[in-house]
This record gives sequence, C-alpha cells and structure tokens, in this order.
Amino acid sequence: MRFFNYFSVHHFSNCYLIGPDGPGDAVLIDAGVFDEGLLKLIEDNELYVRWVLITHVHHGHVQGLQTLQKIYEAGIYAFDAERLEAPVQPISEGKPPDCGSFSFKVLETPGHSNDSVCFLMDGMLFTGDTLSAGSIGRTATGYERALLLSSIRKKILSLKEDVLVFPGHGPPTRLSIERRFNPYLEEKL
Amino acid sequence: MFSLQICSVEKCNNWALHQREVCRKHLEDPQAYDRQVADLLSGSAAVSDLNLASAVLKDLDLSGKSIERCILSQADLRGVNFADTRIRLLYLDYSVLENCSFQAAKLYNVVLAGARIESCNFSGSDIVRCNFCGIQCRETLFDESDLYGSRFIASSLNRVGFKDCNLKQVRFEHARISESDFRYSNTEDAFFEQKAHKL
Repeated sequence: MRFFNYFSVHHFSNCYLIGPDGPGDAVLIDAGVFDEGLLKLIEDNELYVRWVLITHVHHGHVQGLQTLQKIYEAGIYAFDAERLEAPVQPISEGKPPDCGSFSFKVLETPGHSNDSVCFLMDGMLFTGDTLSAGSIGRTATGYERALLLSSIRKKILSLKEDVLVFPGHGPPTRLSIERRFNPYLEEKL
Repeated sequence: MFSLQICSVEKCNNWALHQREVCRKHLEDPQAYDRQVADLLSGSAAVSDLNLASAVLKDLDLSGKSIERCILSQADLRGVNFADTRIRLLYLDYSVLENCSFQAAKLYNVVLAGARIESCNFSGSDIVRCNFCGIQCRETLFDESDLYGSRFIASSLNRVGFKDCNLKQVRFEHARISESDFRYSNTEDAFFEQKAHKL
C-alpha cells in the first residue's frame, strides 16, 4: 500500500491518497481542491482515483469534486449523500464504503457538522475536522461542542492508543498524543 | 507505507519492527537491532516506509539524507546529525532528542509531539506543518526557520530561540513559554490564545 498526503493552501486542508504498491485504483479521502499538484501526484504514481471518501460536506473538503469527476470515474461516498450535487453513495457505521481491497470502517462523529464521519483503516484514522493535532473542530453552539466532544470520547478515544491520526487540517498526530496533550479534550461536557 | 503488522507474540498489540516479526519489547537483542538500524540509516541515501520505533542511536551522521514515511517513535537520539536532511511524515513522538542538529533541514509533517528535546539546533530549517504538541523543550534553537503551520500546543518551552522565524499559522495555545526569544518573528501571525484558533 502507498500513502500520500496532499495539502492545499486554498482551504489549508489536507487530502489523502491511498493506493496499491504498484499502478492501480486508489482511494482519495476528501477533495477540498483538485489542482495540478494533486493531479501530478496521482498520475506520476500511476494511480487512478476509483473511490472518494468524504469526511463531511464543507467547501474545504469537497470543492475539488467537480474537477475530479471530469477526469476520473470515481464512486463518491459521504454520510449525507443529499448535500452534494454529484451522485453520491451514502455511508454509515453499518454501511461502509466498498473500496475494493481497501477496507474502511466508518465512525459517525457529529459535532463539527451533522454529517461528520471518520474513516479507520489499518491503524490509520482519518478524522476530517472532528479532531486535529492539539485541537478539535470548530462549532457554532454549545450544543454542537458538547456533541463533538461526546463523539470524540465515545468513538475515537476508545480506539487503540497507537492509532495514527490524519486530520483534515494541520499536521498528523497519534491518538495517545491527543489523549495526553489535547487541551480541548479536558473540557467538561 | 508504514509496516503496521502486529507483533507475533501472543496478546501483544504493539506493531512489529522493520524486518522483524516482533515489537521492540520482544526483541531478543535490542542492541544488535539498534546497530542494524544505525547501519541501515547511515548506509542509505534515502529510506522510507520503515517502523524503527524505540531505536537508540548515538553520534550518528545522517546529514543530507532523505527519510520518508517512517516511525521512530520513542527513540533515544543523542548527538545525531540530521543537518540538510529532507524528512517527510516521520513519527518521532515521545522520543528523547539531545544535542541533535537539524540545521538547514527540510521537515514536513514530522511528528515530535510529547518528545523531550534538549540542546538541539533546528536553525535555518523549513519546519512546515510539524507537530510539536506537548514537547518538553529547552536550550534549543529554531532561529531563522520557517515554521509555517506547525503546532506547539500544550508544550513547555524554556530558553528556546524563535528569532527571525516565520510563525504564520503556528499555534502555541496552552504552551508554557519561559525565557524564550521571539525577536524579529511575526508573532502577530501565530496563535497564542485559546480563543484565537479557527479551522
């Protein structure tokens, strides 16, 4: 398996490309932008984006979808399929995406947005805006913040300590690091 | 990609090390493994996709090398020279770094969170979007470095030099900072207060 992180200054957001060891079909997690740099990364590695997993439908994570679909025939998966104009297949904890040999578990983590999900694969957790290094996603109300913290505690902090965390914004981290140092997780509900 | 195979010892949930079926805890001869790791790192211009967690490396010259997608978590690094290296996606979390040089290095997505960093030199480096959350850092220089998008949240920084640095999008919330030098750096572009953060 090969793994790449692509960062765009357009929304300061990350997307992650996961492909086989050789040429073949790849998974893209979030598509906040689809520009020449990302296209070059995909093509130089002889990959074809066959599946796109969306952590939540905010501009910084989906704005590249339209361009991507002009180049690749990709199946798009999101929790709230109706919020996107493109044909999207709905996913949930009971209905994970079908990405060939790449097996993802879906964790529903509402709070930053109602449709936020995280994807877990082989000890790697893709958290979108739910959790990032030393921080948590932005929320508009106290209720949403409590919901977000509850989602993180129930769904994420219960995972194995050494899970590697790849957020939608900022540098990578690890679950044990967030448990120990993330000041926002100390908040009382 | 990282070697994320589980240790073959029953009931052990740690990840197995590179070219081993077991984790560090279950190695028969950890010192011999450290020598192999040192030889591997110093003998290759570029290394990638290795799990070398908990390695103990001393007085090793890795200058000019390329390290990508590796795990060196909980490593003990003393007197290791990373000057002019190009490092992308390296986990060095919970490591001990003493008298290490990263001068003029290019670090991207390097995770040093929870590390103890003493008397190290990161001067003149590109340290872009790196994770320093929770580090215990003292007597260390980041002078004249580009720290764009890096995070020092909940860290402890004592006598740390950030002179003439690019601090755009750098986050220091909940950090304990003492006797540190931020002269000529764009502190106005960094976040020091909890409420200032925004995704």
